[in-house]
Amino acid sequence: MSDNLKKEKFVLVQSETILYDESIKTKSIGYYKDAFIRFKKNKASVVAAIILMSLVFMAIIGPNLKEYTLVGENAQKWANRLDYLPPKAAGLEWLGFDGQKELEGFPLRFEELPEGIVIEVYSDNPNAIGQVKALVDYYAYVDYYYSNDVFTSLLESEYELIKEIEAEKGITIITYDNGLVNGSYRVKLNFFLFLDEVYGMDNMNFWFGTDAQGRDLFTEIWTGARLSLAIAFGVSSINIIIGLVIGAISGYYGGLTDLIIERLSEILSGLPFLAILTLLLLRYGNSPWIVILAFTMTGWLGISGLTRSQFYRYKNREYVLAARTLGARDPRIMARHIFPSAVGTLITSLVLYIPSVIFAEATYSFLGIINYAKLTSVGRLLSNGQEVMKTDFYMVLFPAIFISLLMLSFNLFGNGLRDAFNPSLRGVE
Amino acid sequence: MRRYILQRIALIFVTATIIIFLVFVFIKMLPNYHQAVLGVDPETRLLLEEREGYGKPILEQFWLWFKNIVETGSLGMSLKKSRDVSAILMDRIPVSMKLNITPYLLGIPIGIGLGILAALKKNKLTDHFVSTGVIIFISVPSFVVGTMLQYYVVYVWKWLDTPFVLPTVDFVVDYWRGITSYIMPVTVLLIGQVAGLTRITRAELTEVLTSEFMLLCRTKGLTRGQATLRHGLRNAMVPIAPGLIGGFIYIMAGSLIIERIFRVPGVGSVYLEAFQNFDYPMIMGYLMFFTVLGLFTVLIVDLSYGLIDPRIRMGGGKR
Repeated sequence: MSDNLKKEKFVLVQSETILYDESIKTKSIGYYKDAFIRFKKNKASVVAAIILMSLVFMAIIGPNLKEYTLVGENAQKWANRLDYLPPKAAGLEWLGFDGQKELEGFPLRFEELPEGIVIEVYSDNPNAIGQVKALVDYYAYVDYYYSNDVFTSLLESEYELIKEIEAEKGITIITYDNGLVNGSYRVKLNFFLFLDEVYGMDNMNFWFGTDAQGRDLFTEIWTGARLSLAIAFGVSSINIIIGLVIGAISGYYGGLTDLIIERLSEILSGLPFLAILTLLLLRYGNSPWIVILAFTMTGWLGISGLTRSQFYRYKNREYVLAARTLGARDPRIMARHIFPSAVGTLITSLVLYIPSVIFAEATYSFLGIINYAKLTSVGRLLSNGQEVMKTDFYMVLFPAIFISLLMLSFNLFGNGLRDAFNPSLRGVE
Repeated sequence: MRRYILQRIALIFVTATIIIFLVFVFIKMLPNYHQAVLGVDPETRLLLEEREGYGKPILEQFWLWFKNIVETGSLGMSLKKSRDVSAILMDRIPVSMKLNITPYLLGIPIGIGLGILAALKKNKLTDHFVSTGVIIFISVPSFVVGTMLQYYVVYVWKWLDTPFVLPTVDFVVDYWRGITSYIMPVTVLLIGQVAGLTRITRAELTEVLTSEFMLLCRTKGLTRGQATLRHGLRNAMVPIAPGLIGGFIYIMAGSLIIERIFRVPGVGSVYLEAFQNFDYPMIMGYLMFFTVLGLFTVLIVDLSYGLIDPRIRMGGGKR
């Protein structure tokens, strides 16, 4: 120390107060929060997540949104009269929701119809027997047809109900009364007016049209979506639980346990899913539970393999050794120490697993291998629509849009999640 | 190496036997199996009972079934078609192969090419374009693509006059019409093949291109093209090529969806038919074929890993 530095010149900066660590001013960002921030930056995935949420939301409320119910003995008969109605929605006519349809018939048939039903007759190109095509307002056409061209048989109770309403409101529903024939009333009636007054169907617009049995396609699609999603979530959660437990045990303990589980997995993985599904369905019949069972027979293998390798990777780390030294038991080490390290990888593979289940379920119900007797599934709707797509394209269009949108948003969402959880993989696809 | 291959083949036989035995037992256990297969005619009934060993232990039945395959090549009679199942399969497999080989061969160069393009132009417009196409075609199910194609090509644009594949007889009458009817199913299969391949090529190549040795290649004076083709692509192909080799065997398995939509008379559609008619011997025969095919594909894929990349040690012991 040199001489010209005088001791008196030095002043203590800090002598009385005690210094503490400053508290951190920024907020701490945890693992999930960090992932969420990264996820938010990926615009496509955020949009996909929103679409996905609205699809799931619609699957929950959609079936009840536009229910139409025809009750009573003749319900199916009335519904059958409303078959193959094209989509119609007020305000969306410009998008094709105009309730119009091309019909084929002899020119005379279209000339007979009253004003306003036939929109355009394409008379330039008749077919071999002289039939031409015409664009008609199909709703009005159906109403006219069932009101004027055909007789309707009514039950006595229905007949009396109509008479009652007619007297009460001063309107005419029955235009021609043929009286009681063989126990039922043969009449001609204003069909849509009848449905309105008796069943309360005042707004005869089917947004997505109707199918061969006169069921509202809009309701059907969301009912099918509900089933698809329920199966997919059910299968995924079962497979996740089984896969995690088995994979964890096999990866953590290793040795003989691992060897046995691996050999069993190998055999199971050689069993084609098609075989499992077919045999179970042939043996136990078609029910969603059997389908779920078929999916969970071998579906957990992938997840268990993934978990196993993650456990292999982390089980010899120092912090695991530390936990063990402190006296933690195996289940605790597995659940609290190793599992959280592996959770990111697992989440992403799981999110991408759900759409694959939806895909498989839709495919096999499209093929008719899965064929729930009474339940609607999207694949079934598609295959029904495919048979009549020449005349009623909307029947295949709406289910197709739905399933494509669902798959697309699930995959985009899954990719976004993967990028968020494993930044090192970002953009690698 | 040879030892490893033999070991794997032996193991595959064990696995295949176990799986086929499981399927066999399960089919025999079906409640209406006996009634459906044996039929009502007492004479054939007796013949079948003896041939298939009814009433004997299940293991013995399985042995008999196996012996029949080895001795006569017979997988049993189909119930609906009144022909031997193996003969039907032999008829149908070439049909499926014929359909599947074109997209397989076309898909490889297109898929890999697009993948390379996307990887080289990463995060540029080309890449975004390719990647968007890939994610769309991976997500949209092939039955949707097929159906839409049928509707627009046949009913709206009227380019073709039939949405289905024409049977062989029509080829004799009008060869051109027969060939063009195959365009749509081939396109749908091709789209799927290309989308999958592009995705994986892009992913693998991107990873390789960002590694250190690529920089070394450039520093030692290789052009970008040379470096990418000789060093990048070769390394990127390691995980891709085995799948492609395995895929070659898999062209024998018909695609259920495509064959159903386009009414291709291949193995896939024969299975769907059998399923709907409860044709048990046919189902059994197809499932056996399908299982063995799947196992062999896995074997080929595993073996080709070692052939392609010497770093992957064959049959390496404990990790």
